[in-house]
Amino acid sequence: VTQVTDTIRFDFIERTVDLITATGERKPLPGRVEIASSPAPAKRRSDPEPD
Amino acid sequence: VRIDYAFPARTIEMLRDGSLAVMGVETSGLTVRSLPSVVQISLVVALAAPPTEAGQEFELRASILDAALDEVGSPLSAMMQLNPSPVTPEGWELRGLVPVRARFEVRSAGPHSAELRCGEGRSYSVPFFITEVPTPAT
Repeated sequence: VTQVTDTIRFDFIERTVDLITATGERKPLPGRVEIASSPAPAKRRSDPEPD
Repeated sequence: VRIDYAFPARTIEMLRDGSLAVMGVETSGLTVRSLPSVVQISLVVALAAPPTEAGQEFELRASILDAALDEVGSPLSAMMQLNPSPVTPEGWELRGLVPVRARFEVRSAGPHSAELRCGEGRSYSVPFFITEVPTPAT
């Protein structure tokens, strides 16, 4: 599962590739998009709080 | 790195844990009121790679083909890197999901496809269909 937090948008009209955030904001594509192969384990309600 | 699978969807939302909430899986029909029109499709793209390719940069290339198999504009690409996470067991294949949108101008109705390719690997084709439904006269 990816940890990319944005959508990659290929715009064939403007000839650009950029990132779209969850709020719809458009950001320039960084030199490289890094993807993690699986998510960090989700914190559970029963997990003890760190000291 | 290879494309394991890809499919169109109506909406794709990234959740806080890095997974995707997807609605309208395999929504492969797009309706336009007139031609030409600007449309946007959303795709879930699943990448996979052997662990030996962790951290290596690769190119994800995308193009759109129309019903005549002509490219709608020339291909676009993004540089990417697939990294193992702390919970990936050693030796396991790396897998990553990427939400992708493509915005382009449709000039003709009929079958189209999004062509995706990682590096020099095989092209992965995602078919979809454009239908023109004019607005009824009032």
